[in-house]
This record gives sequence, structure tokens and C-alpha cells, in this order.
Amino acid sequence: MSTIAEPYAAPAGARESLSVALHRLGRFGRLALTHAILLSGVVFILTPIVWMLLTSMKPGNEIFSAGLDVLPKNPQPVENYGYALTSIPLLRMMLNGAIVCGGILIVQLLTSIPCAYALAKIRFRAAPAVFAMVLLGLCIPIQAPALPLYLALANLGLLNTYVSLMLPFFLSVFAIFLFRQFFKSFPDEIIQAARVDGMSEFEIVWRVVTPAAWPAIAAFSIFSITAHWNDLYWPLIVVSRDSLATPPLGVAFFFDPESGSDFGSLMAAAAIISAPLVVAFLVAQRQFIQGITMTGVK
Amino acid sequence: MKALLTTTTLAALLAGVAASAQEKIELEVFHAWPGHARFHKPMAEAFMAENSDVTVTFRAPGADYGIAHLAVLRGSLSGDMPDVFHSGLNLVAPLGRILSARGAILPLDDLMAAEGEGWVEANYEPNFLAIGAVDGVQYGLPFNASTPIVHYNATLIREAGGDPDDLPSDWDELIELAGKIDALGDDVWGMSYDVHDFWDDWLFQALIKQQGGEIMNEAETEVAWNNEIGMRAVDLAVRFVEEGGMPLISKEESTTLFCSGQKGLHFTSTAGVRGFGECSDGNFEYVTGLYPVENLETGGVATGGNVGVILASDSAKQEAAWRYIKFISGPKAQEMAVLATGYMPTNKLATGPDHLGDFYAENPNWQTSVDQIGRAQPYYGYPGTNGVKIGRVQMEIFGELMAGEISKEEALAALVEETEALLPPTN
Amino acid sequence: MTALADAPAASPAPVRGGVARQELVQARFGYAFALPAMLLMLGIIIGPSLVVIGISLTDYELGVLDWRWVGLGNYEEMLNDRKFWRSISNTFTYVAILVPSAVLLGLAVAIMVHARTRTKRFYEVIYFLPVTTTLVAMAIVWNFVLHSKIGPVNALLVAIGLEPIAFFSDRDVVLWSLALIALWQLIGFNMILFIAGLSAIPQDLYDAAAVDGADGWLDKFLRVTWPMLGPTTMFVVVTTSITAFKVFDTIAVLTDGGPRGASEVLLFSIYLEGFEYFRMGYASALTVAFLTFILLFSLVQAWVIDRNVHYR
Repeated sequence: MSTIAEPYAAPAGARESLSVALHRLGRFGRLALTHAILLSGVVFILTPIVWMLLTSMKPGNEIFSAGLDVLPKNPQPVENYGYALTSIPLLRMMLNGAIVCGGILIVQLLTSIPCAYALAKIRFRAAPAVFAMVLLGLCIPIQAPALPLYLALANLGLLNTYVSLMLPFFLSVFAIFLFRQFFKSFPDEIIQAARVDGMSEFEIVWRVVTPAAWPAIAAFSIFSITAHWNDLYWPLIVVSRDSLATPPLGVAFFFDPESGSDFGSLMAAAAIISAPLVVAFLVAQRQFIQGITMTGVK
Repeated sequence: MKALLTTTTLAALLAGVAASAQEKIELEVFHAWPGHARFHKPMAEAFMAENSDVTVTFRAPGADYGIAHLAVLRGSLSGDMPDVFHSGLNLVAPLGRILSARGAILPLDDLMAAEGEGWVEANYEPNFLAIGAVDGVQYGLPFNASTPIVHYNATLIREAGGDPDDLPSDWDELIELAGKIDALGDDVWGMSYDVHDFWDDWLFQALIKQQGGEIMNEAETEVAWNNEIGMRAVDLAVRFVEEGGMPLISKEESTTLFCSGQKGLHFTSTAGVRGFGECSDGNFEYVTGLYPVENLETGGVATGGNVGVILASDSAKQEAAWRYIKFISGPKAQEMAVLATGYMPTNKLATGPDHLGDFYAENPNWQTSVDQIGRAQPYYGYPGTNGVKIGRVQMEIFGELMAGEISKEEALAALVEETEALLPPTN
Repeated sequence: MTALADAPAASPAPVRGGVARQELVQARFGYAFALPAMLLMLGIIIGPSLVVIGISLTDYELGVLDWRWVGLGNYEEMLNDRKFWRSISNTFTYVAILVPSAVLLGLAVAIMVHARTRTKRFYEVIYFLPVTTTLVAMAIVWNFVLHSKIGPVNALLVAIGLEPIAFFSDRDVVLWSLALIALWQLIGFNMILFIAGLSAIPQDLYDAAAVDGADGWLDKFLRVTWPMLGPTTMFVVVTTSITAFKVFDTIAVLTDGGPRGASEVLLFSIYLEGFEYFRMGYASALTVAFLTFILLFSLVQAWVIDRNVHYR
């Protein structure tokens, strides 16, 4: 902390005067102000979530009732959560979600790590072109190639399979981008030493560089899983059977805009399927932030 | 191709159930609106109890009729089709035309004839059967049907000095009542007729048809409401806002507002009766009333809903599918569908004393939909493939009109011009 | 710091033997490593996109048997359609609202949270919660929370003497409402990225700045934090703008493009034409236009990144 010796020192400009004013607030005052701002943000963040959780416990006639009676008068959590779990195979859908997210993630890692390594540490002529392709791929949303992809999958007889749910996402250009930054900061000396020891590039990727990249992998995993767990667009196109449905399809099942009477169960289902992601984040939180720090996105 | 399909199906019918008793036939059914699973599933179970040789499974439901229609068209490209599909009524015509060109939809005329003399007459009203026919060929059996009715908040009617037992019977009375309710306070709104924001052009067609008007001329070359009928429709829309206290909000907000008990009356499908019954329970008194048809001679309302069509190509499946759609449009299954939503029964026998008769006597809110059966007219499907877009374009014009951005004359001219621009070019 | 150190790959002095040979072997591995990703790229993104370009030259309608080539007819129709230009303008308005607010608020929250000790984890978890939620459910929640007549937010506005806002039915407001919802999800996401960036700034830089006479919070921010966060900021700007361009879900479930087309963005027009009206040819032409825009946009961004941030 610096010192403001003279309380009436004339500040040179507006910037200084703000700085000085904040400084004068004192440590306690600034702390209180920061928390006040952060907590008002917390209110903004939590309002919809709290409303969702409260609604998940309400019977149909209380959901849109007038006034600001936010608390359920006749809470029926058991009915709503029970109905969400029993009327559709929600647990099965979560298992499907886990299989799909897991499959996508594994292939994404297998294809993006070597590519990212090549871009970061190997000199080859096509490298700039490959990197340009990566940037290009970053920008194309799934909606653009959706119809040809659908027809291709249909011709291969792959509709209504796990493969069709996963295939369009096997390549993550975001992962290549992220890992490339991480590998850039990996010391060249270690790689060179491994080469001298007679390790092939293949071994270097998987046995030297990847083990050091765990935090980055954890970070990317969170990004990947949250994106695909909640994706509704693609599963709706390629899956027409309950047995392969992913979690958001389960939530959509209670969506009845004509009457809205099932919204209690809908919110219950939504809360249930969000829970694993919250847990995953809590578990991976430290590694996650550390991982991004190390990817050089800083 | 059609003939071939039908012949093979008949052959399968003649061969009878015996042939298929060996192994179970799997029928895959696809419907729109996830909420409808609530009656589709029990119906399928009841069917399987009577038909032990068939297993019925469901595809994940389409979010609405358009999305379900799209999924079937995509499936026709990839060969991944359900065996039975519940097609939205405004989409039966494009579906029938596109799929019959591929031989991918089964005409039902011969199957119906094979049921014997008088079967059709005993089960279906002719106007209901007509909604499943395209270019003279029957493709669908009516399953869910609904017409727009008025959903009232009787508590607000009383507060405004009205009488819920004597509901408005014409537009002037209705708008006047809505205006009185709207005047009750800042947190109460009079009415809504969401012709500016709906899933399709159903509410607009009702405004034309209730005057006895047609949607297109006989040759289907131009719209039939470029006249005082169209002007009347446009005028009513403006009066809803100006005199009836209708807020220009989205259809979702509109539903929520009625459920909250802060809106006097709400026009939507009879299918909402159950949902509104639930959300009003303990909050306000809820009653339903007839759509105020002006022309009692030829006027009516457009019928929404869906018909069951057969897309299966395998003859054994076609035969089972025929049994299935017969069953679900039959009195027993209709009873289930009606009770789950408030849809109109599409089978004559369902309203009889054996089935829903007593229920209707005890639940007058549900009776409205039956009272309106005689006024149910086909939901007109525009020629060509732009039906959905036409609906959307019209809604946007109504939005501008009701927001006061364009005059009534401008609105009607725009409605006519933009609708006709989307029709297929005439030779 | 490491990102700024920009050593070219494979720079260390070669060990005995043919440098050329070693580099040749390495280069082969380079190709081999990039190959699976590039094949996937070809099969999943490039190939289908070429098909889309092909379809854009036809009058193909989904499911219909006969179609014909129409050349650039779809593009002609597109350029003459005022709705196309409206959706372009809506898209850019939305991006212009969302990107600055999501980046700046994410940064502000990150700076405040990063300085916490005991409450850091608490804030991180709370702000990250929206990322885990499912849109179908949140759409219903927002629809009620921001309801123009009976929503709690408007009840609050009225209670403090303000006019209620028609979040989803006022043409001038709807894009802001949608951006607000996107912001709700993006703040936490961007905050995490910025916190990562902040934790990599060495404390001695702040100490040095203090010696140079930087006092107060704002001075330190401008002299140390902001310049050091350069690469993070660029990365966040890139990902946020791509997210903004891709907006679709909230529009599909909350506004359906309305009121009167005021929230019809390009991706939603593509959806309408292709998946509601089944005009695949025209939808494909719109898709090509969309891809062209987003490519130009990212080329500019890549160029800016290359110039201002030493990524390579």
C-alpha cells in the first residue's frame, strides 16, 4: 500500500481523485463496497435459480399465481421430483448423457492433443494452414452443416446410435486452441532431452507432455461436458427413441406451453440434471482454474 | 404405387392376425407436443392389452406440429420413418402430397370401405373426417380436434358487474365486458386474442370463418377475404386492443397472465381446459364459453389438432397400424384423450352415455368443446408449401396493426399482398 | 508471462547428426499428429459446408422429389429481402450489446473475486452456477421473472417508482433482454477465465509499480493488471463474440423471433427458412452468408490477435 501523506494533496486528474477517494474510504469501507457489489451480482445470478428450485416444489395452481408469493404454500417436492423421475426414464437419460459426454471428451482429447502438440512444438510446412483451419473451425456452429451431416449419418445407418450423437463433436477446435497455448509454454529443453533419450514424438506426446497437462485437460473437460450435457439441438435431430435420449430431452418432455401445468415437474427434472454438473465443478474447481492459468490464456 | 401399397395391405388383412401371431409386431408412434404423452402412453397400453401381438413404442415427441412434421420429412429422406404419425391438421395437405409422391404414406379409403357398410357413419362426423383427407384421398383418421373457445375468469367478470352465467354471445358484448374488466385496475387486463403471436394462423382463420367467409377462392388462386370480411377481421383485432384492453405480449406471457388470474378472458384451444382448470384451482373461478360466431348459418371456426396417418411400409405393420389408429380414434381411447386435455372427442360414440356422457353433464367447462362440434370447419391448408410462412407473415402484419403502426386499410392490403405472394405461381 | 515468451518451436541447438534428417522425421510426425484432426475437420465441417454451398444453388425443398439448379437465384432473393437485412442488423446489434458487457463485467467480477481470500471459492461457485443450467427450464424461468405484466422484476421496478419494461414484447428492448439472459450465463464463464489470467500476474510487478509511484487501486489496474491481461482479454473477446454470433436457443424458445421480427437473428432466419418452411435451398444460401460474415469477423480478430498479443 502506498502512502497519501498529505490529506489535502491536490490530485493531478480525475483518475487520481477517484483513486484517492477510494483510498480514503479505508480498508473496511472498500471491503464493504466490494462485497456489496459482488452480493448484488449474486442476487442477479441466484434469482432465476432460486425461482426454479421453488417452482420445482410447487403444485400446478401455485406456479403463476398472482402477487409475490414466492414460497410454495403447499409444497409437494416428493410428488414433483417423484413424477420427474418415474414418468420418464430420467436416470437412463443421465446415463446416456454421461456416455455421450464421456465418448465425445475422450475422442476430443485423443485427436486434439497430438494436433495441438504438432502446432506448438513441431515445425512442418502445413502448420500455418492447419492453424488457420482451427481458427476457421472455431467459428462454424453445428447448425451450418447439420442437414448434410444428418443425411450422411442416415446413409451410414447410424441414426439412433450413440455414434450419431457424438460424431459431429469429435473434433474440438477449441481444445486444439487451448492445448496449443499450454504446450507452447512447455519447456523445449525437456522435449529435446527426451528426443536425445531416443523417445519418439509419439511417446513424447503421450508420456511426457500429456501427464504434465492434467490441469489443462481438467479445465477443458468442464467446458466440454457443460456444453454437451445440456445440448438440445443435435440430439433432437438424430435421436428418436427414448432409450437414447439425453437429459435435456427429458426436461423438454414436460414442456407443455399450452397449459403449463407440468412446470413443477419440469423444474424438478431440470434441477436433477443440473446437479451432476454442479458437483463436477465443485470437485474440479481448483484444478480447473489452475488448468486455465497454465494454458497461457493469461 | 398407391394401388400397390393398398393391395398388399388388403392381402395382409385377409391373411388375418393368425399369420402375425408368431412374432410380435413392433409399431413405432410419433406425435408432437411432449405434454401429449400423458394420454398417448395409457392409450397404447390399453391397445396392447387388447392386441397382444403388437408392441407399441414411442419416439421422443416433437416440440410442436411444425417440428414433428419436419422430423418426418427428414426421415423420409433417410428411410427412418415412424409407423404411425400424428400430423398437425394444417400440415396434413403438404405431408400427404409430398409423401404420396414417394409412396411413403398409406391411403385409407380401401381399408375404411373394408370395415363394412355404416362403420364410417357410426363413428365419425363428416366434417371431422374431411380434415384428414387431401385431394380426395383419405390419409388420416381424426384423433385430436380442438376449436378456439373463450376461457373466462369468472371472478373478474363478477367484479366488473357481469354475470358468468350469461356469457357474451357476440363480439360487441364480449369486447364491452373485456373493457369493463380492464377498467378494474392497473394490474388487471381485459382480454387476449393472440392473432399477432400464435403457433400458426389458426386464430386468423377463425376470424374469417366465423363470418362464414372462405380462406381462398374455389380455384385457389387468390384469397377470398380481400373485401368486407377481411376488413371486419382486421377491425375486430384493433378493437380487442383499443376497447377490450388486450396487452400485446407473447403467447407464453399471455397464457401465464391468464393463469395468474389477472386477465378477464383468453382465446385459445379447447385443449387448454385441463391446464387452466389446474392453474386456476384455488385462485379464481374459471369458466368457458363458445366462440362468438357471427354468421350462424355458415359461420364456424377452424379445427386444430391432429390425425393419425400410417407411414409403415411393411404390410404386417400396416395392418397393425390400421388397428392402432382405428383404436385410438375409437370411443374408448377418445375418452382418455379428452379427459387428459379438453380436446374434442372426434368419435361420435365417445360422447354417448357409455363413455363421456355423464362426465360432460358434471363438468360444464368441458362441455363447451362438444357444443362447438357443429361449428368445427376444416383448418384450411394453403396450396404450395408456404403454409407455415404465410401464417408467420400474417402474424407480423397483425402485430404492426395492433401496435398502431399501420392503418386497418394498410394492414388488409399487406395481408392480401404478402399472402398471395407466397402462393405457388399460377400458370 | 509465459505466453509472452515466444520462442519458436524446435529452436535448441541440434545434437550431432543430420539436423535436416531429424527435422524431416519430426515433420512427418507433425503431419501424422495433425492428420486425424484434419480428417475430422474435413468430414464434419468442411465437407458438409461444401454440400451446403451446393444446395444453395438449387431450389431444393426438404422431402420434395424434384429440384433444379437456380444458380445465384437464392442469393438474389436474399439480397432483395428486407428481412435478411433486418436479421443482419439484429445480429450485429446483439453482438454489440453483449460482447462489451460480458467482457467488462466478467473482468470486474474477476478482479473483485480474485482479491478475496475466505469468500473466493463461494463467489466462484455461485457465479459459475448458470453455466450448469438447462435452457429449456431457464427459458420458462426467464419468461416469468421478466414477464412484462406480472414478473417480479417489473414488480420491483414499479415499487421503486419506475415504469415497467416489456422485456419480450417491446421491439426496442427485446435484444437487450436476450443479451441480459446471455450475460447471466457468460459472466461466470468469463470470470473464471479472467481469474486464471489474474493469478498468473506476478506480485513483484505490483511492487515495482508501487515503487514507481503508482498508488491506489485504479492506478495499479491501468499500469499492471490491464496490460498483463492482454492475451486473456483477447481470448475472452473471441470466445464471447463467437457465442454472441451463434445465439439461437434463447430466441427459439423465448421470443420466436418476435415481436414482429425484432429478435430474428441470422441463425434464427436460417432455422425458419430451413426447418419451418423447409426451403433448404434458400436456407443454405443464408447459411453461406452467415459463414462468410463469421469468417470475415474472425479473420479480422485473428489479425488483431496476431498484432496485439504475442500468441505465436
